[in-house]
Amino acid sequence: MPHLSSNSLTRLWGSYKRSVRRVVLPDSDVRSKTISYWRNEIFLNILVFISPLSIIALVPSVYMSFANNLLVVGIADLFVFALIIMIMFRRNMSLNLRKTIFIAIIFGLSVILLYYLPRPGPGLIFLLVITVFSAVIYSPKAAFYSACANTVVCCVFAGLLYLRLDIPITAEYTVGSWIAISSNLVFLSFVCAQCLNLLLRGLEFSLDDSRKLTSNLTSIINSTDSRIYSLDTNFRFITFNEPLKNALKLNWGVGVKPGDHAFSFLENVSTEEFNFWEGVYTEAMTGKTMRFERDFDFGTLHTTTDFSLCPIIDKGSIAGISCFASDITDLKRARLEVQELNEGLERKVAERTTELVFINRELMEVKEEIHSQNDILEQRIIQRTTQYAFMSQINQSIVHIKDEQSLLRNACLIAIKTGNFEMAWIGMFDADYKTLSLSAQQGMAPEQVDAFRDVISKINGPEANVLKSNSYFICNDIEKDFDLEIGKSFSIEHDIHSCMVLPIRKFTKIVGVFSFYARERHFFRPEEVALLAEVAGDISFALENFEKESRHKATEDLVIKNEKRFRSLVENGADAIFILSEDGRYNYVSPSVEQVLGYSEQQAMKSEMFALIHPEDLTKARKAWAQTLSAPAVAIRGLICRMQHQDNSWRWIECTFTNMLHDASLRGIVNNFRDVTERIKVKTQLSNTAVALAGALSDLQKIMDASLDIICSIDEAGKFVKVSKACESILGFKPEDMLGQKYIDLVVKDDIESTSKVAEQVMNGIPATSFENRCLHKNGSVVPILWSATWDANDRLMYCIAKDNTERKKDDAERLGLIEGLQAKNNDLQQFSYIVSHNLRAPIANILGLTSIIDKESTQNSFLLNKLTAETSKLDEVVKDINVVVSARKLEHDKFQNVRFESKLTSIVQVLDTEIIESGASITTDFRPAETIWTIKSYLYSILYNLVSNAIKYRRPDTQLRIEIATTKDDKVICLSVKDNGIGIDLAKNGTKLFGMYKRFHAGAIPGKGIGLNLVKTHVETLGGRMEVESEIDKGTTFRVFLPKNYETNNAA
Amino acid sequence: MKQTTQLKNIVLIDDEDVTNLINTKIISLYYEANIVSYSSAQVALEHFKGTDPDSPTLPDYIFLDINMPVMDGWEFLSEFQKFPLHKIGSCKIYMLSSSIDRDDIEKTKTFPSTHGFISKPLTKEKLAILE
Repeated sequence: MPHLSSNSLTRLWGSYKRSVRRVVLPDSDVRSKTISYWRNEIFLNILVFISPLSIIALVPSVYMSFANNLLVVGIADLFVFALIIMIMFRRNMSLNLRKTIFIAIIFGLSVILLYYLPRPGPGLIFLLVITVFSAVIYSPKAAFYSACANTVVCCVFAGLLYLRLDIPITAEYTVGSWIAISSNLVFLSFVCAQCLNLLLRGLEFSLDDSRKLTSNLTSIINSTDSRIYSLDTNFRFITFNEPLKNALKLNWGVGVKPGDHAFSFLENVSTEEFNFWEGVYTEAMTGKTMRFERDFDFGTLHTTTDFSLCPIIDKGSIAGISCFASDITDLKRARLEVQELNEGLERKVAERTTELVFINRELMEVKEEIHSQNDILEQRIIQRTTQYAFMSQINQSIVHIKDEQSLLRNACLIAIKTGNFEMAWIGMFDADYKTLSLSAQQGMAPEQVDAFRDVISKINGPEANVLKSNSYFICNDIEKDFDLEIGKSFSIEHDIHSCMVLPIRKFTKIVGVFSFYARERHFFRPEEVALLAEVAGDISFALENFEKESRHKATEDLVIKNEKRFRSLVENGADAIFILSEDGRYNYVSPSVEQVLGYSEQQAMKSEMFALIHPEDLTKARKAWAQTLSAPAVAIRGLICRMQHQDNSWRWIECTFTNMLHDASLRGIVNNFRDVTERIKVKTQLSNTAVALAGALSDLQKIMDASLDIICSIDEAGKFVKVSKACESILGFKPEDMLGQKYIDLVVKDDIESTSKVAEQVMNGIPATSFENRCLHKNGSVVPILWSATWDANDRLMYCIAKDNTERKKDDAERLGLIEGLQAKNNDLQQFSYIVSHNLRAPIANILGLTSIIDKESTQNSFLLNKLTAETSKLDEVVKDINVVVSARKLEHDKFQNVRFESKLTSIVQVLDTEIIESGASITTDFRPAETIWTIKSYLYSILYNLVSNAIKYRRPDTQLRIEIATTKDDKVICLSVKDNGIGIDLAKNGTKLFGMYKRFHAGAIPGKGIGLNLVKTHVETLGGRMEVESEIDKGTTFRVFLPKNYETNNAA
Repeated sequence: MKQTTQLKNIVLIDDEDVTNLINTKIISLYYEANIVSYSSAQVALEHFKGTDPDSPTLPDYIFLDINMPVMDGWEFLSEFQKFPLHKIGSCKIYMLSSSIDRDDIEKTKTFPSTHGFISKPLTKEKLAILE
């Protein structure tokens, strides 16, 4: 068919194939290509090809058979052909039935051919083909069945030949030749069956294996997280696993299927990225194995992927590349962390090492220190041993030596020899401690000894120190400490650096000093001191013993002496003695009675003692007498009575009675008496004085205690010696709590420095008057104190008066407040006069000017009169303003109450309605932070009104006016802010004048009298608040009003 | 009474136009003069300066108000004194204020360029200075 193109032929062939397939294999599974799939495929192909091909065999064979009168063959051929067509196109027939019918048809055909056309024998070929077909389309077993069937057919025909029946085959073959030919067929059939059997089984196995392998591999690559894919040489996807598919879907938003171009996903990426991938893929295609990491940025997701590309080698040439990509973001992060950790560790180790080195160095130092300490200790031990030897030797001499001088001399000698001292001496004071004489010495140069004779005790010398402190004196570095000039030069000359002076006592009284001198600095340590003190104590003890012994001797002498002394005393003393009988008569009268009472011995003997006693004192005297009688041998003292002198005057006589009636030698009562008139007089005077003094003192005390101020005395150490009672009311401490306390402890920390400075001045003789500081009350509160203080050099005391300054401070504050008030008033007055002189005068001047013109120019009168009216109304306004300003200063008018910002603003908006509409202002508010305030309603109104109307007045003509009103608060203050975007104010230039009365900063066009802000300020200040302003030219202005939250309550308190 | 010879140049500086109007009228009643009034001291100053501050165009008389917004009379005087001396010499400045404040009168004397203090309103007697 010439008009059909090859293309349409191909299409026709294709649709033919498809229609056959639809009938024969309607539900073949393409994916599982097992051996049975291929059997069916082969069967299908045989069917597809057999019908067109069989036409080639059919046409000549039908023609030949009809030409040769072989009708049966021709009909059979046609019949077979029809059957095959039926198999191909008949629906609803199972595949196996089709196969069976197909095999049966061919088998039948071959038998017919064998029967009718035994030579050249296409039947035999057909039989062989059946065997091959059965093996291919059925199973290997079927081939054997077919081979068996072939054998049977051959045998049947051999039987027919043997029977010599009249059939075509007998004309062609003998039994022998048939067997020879057919046996070949049988043989070939079996060989074919066997061989095909082996071939197909093997194929089945390997197909199975590869199928299993593929499915295993698929499940493996799909179960990994890594993305695995392979590309062919044209960079198209051959295969890929699920993770890749998901990743592409997720990150790139595309689906993928085999055959897609790998670069199609890179259309939207940067050229750089594209070039990179093109590069690596191309390079991998050259057979190179590649491994690299790549960072991706998918919006917020940052990932790092590890890629490895491998060429796929198929039959020695590169068939594509396999790619293995795994997400190593976490790994990388972990790697980084590990790296950081390592670095941190290394750093720490380095630090530790430095520390260790440092510690080691310190340890070395400590070690050296210990070594040197050890040396010192060793030296000390040696020294200690010497000291003990010294002490024991001294003790021995104390035991052995019985006189003072030799003991002292010996002690000095031992000190030099055993004690290793450079020099030692013992000096004795005289009774008044005026001089110190050298009693014993060792190691002193002769000229020194000479210089030492009866040295006058130095006020500041070590010996004087010993006397003063009643203890030993140590100087461990004479060059530095010793303030005795002579001692210093001497010690330097003799290389002496330490000295110690110990007191030597007799019955606790210091009588001398024992001095030791050593070359070594810091020789006298506590241990040495203790030992030496003991030595000095021992010597003192020895001296006391010597003294006791000598005293004992003296007593004996005294007894003898006393007898004599007594006599002379009795005979010539100031005291007179009566010895009286039990009834008061005189047994003996000492001659000295004449000196006392003027009577001679004889006169006295005649009188009676009680007769001489003043009647008023008689009772007292008799009482003493009775007491004497009742207590023998006890001296009854204390009777002072008046006795009559011979000149009749009364004398005060002190009597001491002793009942000696039991004493055989006396047998009487001894009255030892003396004239004490003078003494009594003095005593009376004294007691009067004492009473007066006591009175004065108690008066003083009363005055002190009555004083509202603290009157106190403070000693040199800054401790209270005496404090008046007022301290309790002022500082809360009782006077007794204060005594001994340091005044500086009372002073507030910040004032300590200034207080100490003043105290120092006072102690240098400059009295302090009205020094102010703050002290701490017992309850912790701070009290301002006003001090005046003087220093008394005699008493070495500072006398102070401390006044509670709280009231004065308060007064001062009040005064300041008054002054401020007055100043404010003054300012107001000044402003008032300013208004009068300028603003009030201006319209008046204008009115005057206008009236002066009126007469002259009658034609213009109405114009001038209008001006006149305007000026007059201005005048009126100024007068009103003054009224407003003056009344604004009176707080009493209004009451405090809770006022809502919102409600005030609403009423203002209503009043300013016209202006707001005219100006097109938009007002936004935020009163949420503080919605109400405790204040005076009209003031708040005035403040808000003026600020808002100012904002409207001073708007920028070219900009829509925005006013933002808001409140904020903290615990004390509520802040109201009014912010606009108006023309602003040059604060640098006008800041100070901003709130002044009648101050204006904008020329001409804007109406204003310059009173609003002044009024606002006055109101705010009246409410106890303050104002702040923030402004920038052509940007806008923000006024902030800070009002105290509860001004009234605070004020009331 | 009217001066017919050379016309004097008089400048009035007052922020209130009414005042300027009144003063112009009063002066015109008694004298024939070229009277120019400014409602802003700054504008007046700029006008005097012209293009060259070293050779300003100054009138024969200036009546200057004290209390004005933006630039008051004193500030004007401070600026005015920066003009060259020989130019200032021929220009007489009088403070013309409604103020009756002593301080203002005293302060006027501290400016060498001023010739006197006139309290508003202007009268025939006060204008004798123009003769």
